[in-house]
Amino acid sequence: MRRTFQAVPLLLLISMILFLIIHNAPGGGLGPYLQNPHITPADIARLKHNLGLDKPLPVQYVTWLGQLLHGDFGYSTSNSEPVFNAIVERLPSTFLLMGTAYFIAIVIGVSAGLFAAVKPYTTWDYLITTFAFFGQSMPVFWLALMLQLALAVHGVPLPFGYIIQLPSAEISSSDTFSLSDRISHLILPATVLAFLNIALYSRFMRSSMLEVIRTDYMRTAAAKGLSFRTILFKHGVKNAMIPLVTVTALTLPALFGGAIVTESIFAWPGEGRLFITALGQEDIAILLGFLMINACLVVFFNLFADVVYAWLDPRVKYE
Amino acid sequence: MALAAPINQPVVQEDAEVFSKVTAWKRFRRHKLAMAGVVVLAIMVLAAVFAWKLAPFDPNFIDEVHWQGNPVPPCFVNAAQCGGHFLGLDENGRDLLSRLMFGAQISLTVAVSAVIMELVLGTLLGALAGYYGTVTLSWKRFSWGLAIMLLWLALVTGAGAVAGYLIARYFPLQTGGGLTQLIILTLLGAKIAFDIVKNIPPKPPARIVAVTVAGAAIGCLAALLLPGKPLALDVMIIVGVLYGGLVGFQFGLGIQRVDHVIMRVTDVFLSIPLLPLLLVLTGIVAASSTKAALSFETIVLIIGGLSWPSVARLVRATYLSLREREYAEAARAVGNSDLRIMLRHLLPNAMAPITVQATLDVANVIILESVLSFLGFGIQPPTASWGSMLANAEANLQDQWWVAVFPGLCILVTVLAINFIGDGLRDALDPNAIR
Repeated sequence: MRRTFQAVPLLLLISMILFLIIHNAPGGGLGPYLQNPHITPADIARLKHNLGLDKPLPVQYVTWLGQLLHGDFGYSTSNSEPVFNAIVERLPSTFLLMGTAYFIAIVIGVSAGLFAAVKPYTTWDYLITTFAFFGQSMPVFWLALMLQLALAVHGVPLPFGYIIQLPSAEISSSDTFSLSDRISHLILPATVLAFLNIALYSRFMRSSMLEVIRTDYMRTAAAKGLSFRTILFKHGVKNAMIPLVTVTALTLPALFGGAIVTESIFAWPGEGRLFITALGQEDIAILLGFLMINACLVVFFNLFADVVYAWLDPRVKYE
Repeated sequence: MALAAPINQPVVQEDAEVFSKVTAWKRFRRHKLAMAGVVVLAIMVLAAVFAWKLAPFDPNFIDEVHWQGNPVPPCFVNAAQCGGHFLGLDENGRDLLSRLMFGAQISLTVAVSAVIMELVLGTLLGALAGYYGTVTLSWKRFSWGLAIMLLWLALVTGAGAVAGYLIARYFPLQTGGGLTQLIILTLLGAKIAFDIVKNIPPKPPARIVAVTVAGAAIGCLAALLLPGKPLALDVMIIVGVLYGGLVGFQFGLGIQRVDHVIMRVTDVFLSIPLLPLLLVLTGIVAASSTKAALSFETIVLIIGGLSWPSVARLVRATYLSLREREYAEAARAVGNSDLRIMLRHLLPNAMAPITVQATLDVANVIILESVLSFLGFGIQPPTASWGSMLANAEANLQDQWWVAVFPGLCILVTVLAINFIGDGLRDALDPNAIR
């Protein structure tokens, strides 16, 4: 409860810092207009006045914060629509990509980690550990390039480019939606993202499981004469998963935030690509909205992870 | 636990042996992958350091004899076409191997410099927070403290601004070279740090005079050092706010509460996703002037300046437990200053986790820099870094695959080596390690 209250000043501080950083950008949000030769200085002045950019920075901040509390994130200059709409529009596709990737990563990572922990210091364990190190050390964009290269050389017909319909177009023409097309576009980026995260989960699961295996209650269960399978899954995995749930909760913000690099390489129309496009076009409303929403998510899921942890593990108590 | 054991028991000696550097090295050597990592990293570093000697070509030299717009592949692919370029030419006709070597210089230096900066900031702030940490603060005390702090802030800033304005108004001197400015600002920083750690004059009236004079002096200095009134005024106000804020903090809330402040700052920075924030900052720098403004130093400053909070948290946690140890108590009893205990007595004992973290962070920063450069917000062409060499690789993936493969391979191998070393260090330096 106390921590929930602490989150409020934290979020305020975050918003203040982000606002200050972003409004230091040259052009102050009018960058694209300033470079347009068809827009006169008088137009700029009028725009500034209409958008409230001629007011002192603290006033702008308070106005922005007030709007934020009403769910108004400002107006995107590059997309010509409210920031909130632009972000919500991309949410389903980001969710699809990140959800698939994390699902694969968790399933493979957890089972690999479990396997390595049950047979520690064997060849299999070393193989899995080394594989995890590769995942941890791989530059994501390079892996994406190499996959494209390998597939191009061997001529596997997987499209690298756009999903046929952008989500905005999809609503009007849902007849062009095709599941197989979606899946074929999903495979590469999801594989890349999953590969990086398998490492995280397998290493975590391995160390967590190794700790559990050495506990007294596992020995007691074995002494009772339970089968290895029962001990492992009923007593072992259940307890070993507790810290893993926390880690998963901490990665949940990415489910909404998307993956900047992977999305921009595979031209996936998600949040990450929205961000990188906005960055190129100096669309500060989107940048600010993106950063703010993601910071809020991180704060929220940190709290959430603590709550879940305390709920799953009765030994943990927060005052 | 340590107290219960008599001094000359073998337990104590064994303990001492476990922590010695020799045993750590012995344990590290047993970690085969870590040793392989050391070898690989050594090769990379040597190639980078001696690039000017070893590289067969100048990294920006365009070999127009062999480069006619057609791809020139590596020698092991087509010995007839490669024209002496072992790894072929890149998409602009420059020798790939030479660029890789000079790229290693940039990539490794950026990573190491950023991590050093992160370590200095993180260790300093984390040590302060941990050493004085977890002093609870009632709301009443906090409000009073805040009020006193704001008063000081106003006083010092006001004094600085007035003094600075008067100087700039009546003595419009055009002084201030780069070096003098740097020296004086460093001295100023040292003075501020000194004031914070030591309690300057004990009695309130003397305090007010001393600190106000200091504020005024800062204002004068700023006015003298920076030609041009408006800028000088800005700087005076900024410095005044910083100095007044720090002094006010010291007198209002007391240094014991520094933990709260530092931890809130780390909370803020750890809540904002790092990569987007880095991109926004480098994007702002790039848009403020030219893209060339994204120099090596800027990248290091931005990465180092944003990644210290995780180190600060680690150091704080270590210091929280170390400050309760007997030797810390003993050092305090003998009359050492807090600063000395922090640096001389506690820091050496906190080095193990810091070293491991630093090693892993070098690996992370190499990847981070490559991502920034790949997206066009890092090291700018024609300067080679492993990331910037990949920036154009995507377009030429089909016909010049070597341009994409080798820089990435360098990143992967180096980062892998450093991660293995970090893992080895973790095992070697952990006194409780099983195995």
